[in-house]
Amino acid sequence: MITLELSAVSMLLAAYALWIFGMFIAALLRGAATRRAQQRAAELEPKIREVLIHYLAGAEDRTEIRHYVKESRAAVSTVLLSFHTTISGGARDRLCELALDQGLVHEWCQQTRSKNLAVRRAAFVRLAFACSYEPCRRVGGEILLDALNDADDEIRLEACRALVQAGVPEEVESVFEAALGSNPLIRILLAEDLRRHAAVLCKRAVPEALRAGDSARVLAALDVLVAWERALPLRGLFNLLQRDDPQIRIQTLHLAPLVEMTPEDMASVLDALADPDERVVLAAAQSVGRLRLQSAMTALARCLRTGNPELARVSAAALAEIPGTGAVTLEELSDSSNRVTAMAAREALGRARQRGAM
Amino acid sequence: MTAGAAQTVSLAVQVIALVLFLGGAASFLMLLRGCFALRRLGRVSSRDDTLVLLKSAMVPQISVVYAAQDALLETRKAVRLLIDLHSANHEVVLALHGVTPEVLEEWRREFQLFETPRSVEARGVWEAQRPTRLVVLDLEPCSRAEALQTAVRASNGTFIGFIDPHAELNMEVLLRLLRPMLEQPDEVVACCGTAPPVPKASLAGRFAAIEMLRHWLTRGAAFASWNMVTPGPGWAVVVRREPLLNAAGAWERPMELVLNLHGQARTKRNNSKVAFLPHRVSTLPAAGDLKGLRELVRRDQTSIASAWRYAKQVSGGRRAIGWGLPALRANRLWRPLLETLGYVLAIGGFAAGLVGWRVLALFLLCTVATGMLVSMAAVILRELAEFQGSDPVELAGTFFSAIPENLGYRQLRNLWLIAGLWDKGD
Repeated sequence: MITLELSAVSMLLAAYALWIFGMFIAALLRGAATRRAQQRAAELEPKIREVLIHYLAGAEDRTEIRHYVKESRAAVSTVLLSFHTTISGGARDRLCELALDQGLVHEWCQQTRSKNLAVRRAAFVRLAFACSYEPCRRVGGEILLDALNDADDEIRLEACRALVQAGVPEEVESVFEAALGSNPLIRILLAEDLRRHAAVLCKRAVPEALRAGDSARVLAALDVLVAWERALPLRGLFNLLQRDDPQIRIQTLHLAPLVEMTPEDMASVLDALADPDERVVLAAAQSVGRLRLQSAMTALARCLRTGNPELARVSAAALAEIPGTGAVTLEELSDSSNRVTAMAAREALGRARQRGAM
Repeated sequence: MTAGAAQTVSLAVQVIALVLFLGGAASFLMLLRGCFALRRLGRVSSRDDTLVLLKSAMVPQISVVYAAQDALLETRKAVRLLIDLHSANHEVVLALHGVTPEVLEEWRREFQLFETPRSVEARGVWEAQRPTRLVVLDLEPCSRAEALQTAVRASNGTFIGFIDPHAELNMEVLLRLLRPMLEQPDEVVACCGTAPPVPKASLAGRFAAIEMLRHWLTRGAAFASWNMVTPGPGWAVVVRREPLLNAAGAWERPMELVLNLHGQARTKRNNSKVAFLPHRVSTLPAAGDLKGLRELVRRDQTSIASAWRYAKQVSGGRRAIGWGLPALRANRLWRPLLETLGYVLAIGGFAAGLVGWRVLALFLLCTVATGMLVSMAAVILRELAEFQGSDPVELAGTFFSAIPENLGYRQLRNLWLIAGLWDKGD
């Protein structure tokens, strides 16, 4: 019996060891190959970068570039893409034209059909970079439009980014629509790219999105607008303060300091200080602080006296923002018999004095 | 009598050997599962969006909670590190439990704190001047668990971060952990992240590397593929605040907390899950000597023992992650006990002439040889899991250190594991 057990275990372990050592040799070979490739890239890429910088500076001779393209198309593609965040306008067009001339754009288009997801993703990233240049867009534009319906999130994102870069208003609007229906991560990433098209989007796409009946969509649109953190040419926004969803009311209030406001809008913001939802009141207090609304003094002082610690803190901070009278009110309230009110007022005064606002 | 004893001992050693062999086979299958899970995770996302997330106003607030009882330089440094983490929007909530007025004064001076009203039971709540986002809670004397729970209640964040400032941290840890939760906001309630550190060049350093590699592949990746991942010491964890407020009992470590979330999800049969980020966002510093190795084993063993005790309080109990916790317990307590007993019986029996050489050989094959192959498999499977190959010299060094690891260190570690289960805390 023991002989049988010993033989069985030995056989199994031997087979297992054989597999492991086989895999070990394969891993060693792969490791060595990777190192060689990395070393080669480390040698090649600075040289390619230098040649490309010369080219961007106006040198017309492409002999060296052609030589490097022949030697390693992947390295040239990598270096080209490394300029992604550093160049724009004419310089970027020049680089994209070079990629087109050297057949790199066509190669990337082919790679978008690869079965390897990593290769496909890389191809879309490169194509998205190149498609800011109109002739490249003629080559890869259709592929990018098709990619808007790709199963892979990252590829869809790259396609959206490429279209945003191209800046065609209808396409930018469709990307904005796509962003509203995406998960929060994609929305955050696209919001950054869409920021510079805010003015165009505020003409039609944004008002339409804000008029939608679907609360999730409206909230997503408001999230994007708040994230832009820039002045927006929007009107009629404050109708949203009548919506049932408190999150919509909160985000609308966060947006208040960034949009044009009529006296009626200001009144709506002040009314929000008496909203039944405490979170909405907090948002309203923050907004009136940023807007420095003198007319909010009484309402803020009332909020400060409610005894709710969070509301007291935010209201006191808002009062501290209101020049002159805000500080006087805080001084008075800092002697209040209500501990929360007095503490919040003292804290706001102390902070304001420390940063030299009073 | 002697023949009967010999037969009994011999049989016992054979049974133990075969049980351990099956345990080794199960470990290998877990490693394999972990490898495939890592390959899948690697394909899910290859992007690094931290720069965009860093400046976006849409990124939700994270509150990093931390409990302390002193104002030592080391503690203040730890809090500074947590404040300095890169994120668009995070605050640190420090719960000082049972500190003297002098200690509080030290903190006030260091961070220029203002007393502030907050809806939380505390002797006082203090906040730093912006841009430093620090809230300090001055609490009555209480346990660390209670202090942490009060910190969670006092926090403003949509997400709560548990970051070990003594671990080796990637400063973008919060953003990296937040990513899966933003990608699947309705499903992912927590995200845990770690990866083995760069090993030290010493033999003990390589043993530590193999040990952490095994944990990473099994308790990290493989468990994540079954939605059973529970963080170990040195891991970074970000959790949604809402389910955290419903967590039962006095959780103290992230492992207990995540166990609680799993229990809630299984009981309510919802589709929430805990994600695993297999990157080096937070990891215990690599051990370089036996003392460091022992500390590594002790900390891990303590957290498992504590989770085992705590699991009775959570929904689902010790089955909160299905067979995961019992299996972990079996691997960390029963296996070392059984193996140590097996060594005593096999070697003692062989010396006393009660056990034949074949039985001894079988036992050594099922323990030492199997252990070597499992450790070697861990090294190789990591290579398969990652899409880039490692340095061949480094790889060979770690691969072959599996041999001495199982000739002496494995047996010593078994004793540490047994002792560690009765160790009460950090």
